[in-house]
Amino acid sequence: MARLKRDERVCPYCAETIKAAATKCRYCQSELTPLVETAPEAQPVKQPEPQPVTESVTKSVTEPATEPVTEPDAQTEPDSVDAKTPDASGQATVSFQAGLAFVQRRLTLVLAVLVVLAATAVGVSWYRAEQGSSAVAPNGSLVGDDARTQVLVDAADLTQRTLSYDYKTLANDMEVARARMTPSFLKEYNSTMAQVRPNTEKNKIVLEAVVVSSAIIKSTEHRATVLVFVNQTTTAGDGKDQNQQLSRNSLVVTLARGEGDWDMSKLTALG
Amino acid sequence: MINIALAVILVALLGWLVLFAVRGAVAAPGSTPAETQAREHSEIGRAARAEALAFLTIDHTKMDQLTAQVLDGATGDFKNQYQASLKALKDSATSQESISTGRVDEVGLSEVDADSATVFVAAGSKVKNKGTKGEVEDRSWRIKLTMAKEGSRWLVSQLEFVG
Repeated sequence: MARLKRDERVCPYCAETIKAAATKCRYCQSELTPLVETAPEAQPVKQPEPQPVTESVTKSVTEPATEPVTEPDAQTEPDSVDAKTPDASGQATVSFQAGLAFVQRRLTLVLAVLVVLAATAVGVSWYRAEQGSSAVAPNGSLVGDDARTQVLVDAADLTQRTLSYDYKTLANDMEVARARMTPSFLKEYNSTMAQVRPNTEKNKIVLEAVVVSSAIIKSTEHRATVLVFVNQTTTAGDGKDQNQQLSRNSLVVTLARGEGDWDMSKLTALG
Repeated sequence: MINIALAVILVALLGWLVLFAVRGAVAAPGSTPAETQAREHSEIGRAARAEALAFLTIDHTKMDQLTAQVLDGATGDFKNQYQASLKALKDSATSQESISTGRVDEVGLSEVDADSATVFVAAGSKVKNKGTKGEVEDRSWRIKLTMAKEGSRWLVSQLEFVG
């Protein structure tokens, strides 16, 4: 049901919407008491000559001067209804209540739809939280068994690569180590090896690192700190002049990765 | 009336969604398996650190208290062995006037199961006794702990020094 315009009313006989000024319903042809036209001041421009109140009461169908009088239901007819007349007021209240009920029903529908949508979204988020990642905890820590094993294995492997070399195969050993380093660690490694290299070749040094254990101190998907126990054997010279030393070290190895493999990012000796 | 109820529910749901967007899976009620696992890991680490520290701390003036602390975090083989050597340990601490201040540098978790875990600890202790002639000696240790879950607590069931 559409809202009544100010110049409209509802026919008391057939309930159709008709012009307020009508004296006969255009739908059911019932004779109607025309509504009183007042408030000519509301249309000062279109009604330059305010009509006397008595005239407007008796001639309620009077069109404003600018409108053709003969037009029975002109759409452009200016307001001529006084909403305060008893008849129109009753109709307005009824239709206002009907409108309100309508708006409320529509609002209920809209809210219900929104609630269902929001509930669905919450449900999906919850499901994802439960099922989503069993390998990574919400705080970012890596808990998946396979992922953690990969960290442990790579930390051991990369530590051995970095700390093992043989003067006979030094260039090759260094290439193997360099393949899995972050850019910053690579720089550090290069400058250390540049210093170590002459002595290694001159004294025929073989360094062998054997990782005894590796254990995760802290790990996310992209960064892991690992406690590595390593036994390093340093052999200098060959034949009868051979000289061997064993050192047992504790290292904190930091690994980093983007999308692919873990790379050596930092290596610190403890104690 | 129903509209007000619906509006309240809607606002609550939207608030919850915002929580999901901001905090992620933490917004889910209860805890996810990953969350539980992460908590378990930190609990294992905490227990291992405390027991390693207790084990490395010796003070000949209060051995009863210190050894009771070690036994509290111990179970199985480790507990039996420690208990068996308790008298010898106390006697030697007293006769040597030993003082050892322990420290734990790092604790790392290796294999972790639902009720057992292997933990490695890089630790150290500053030792002073008659043998060191009053000097403080700094020693560092590599320790492997085997942990077992008993009830809600993680206890050390085996302690080995790594060679």
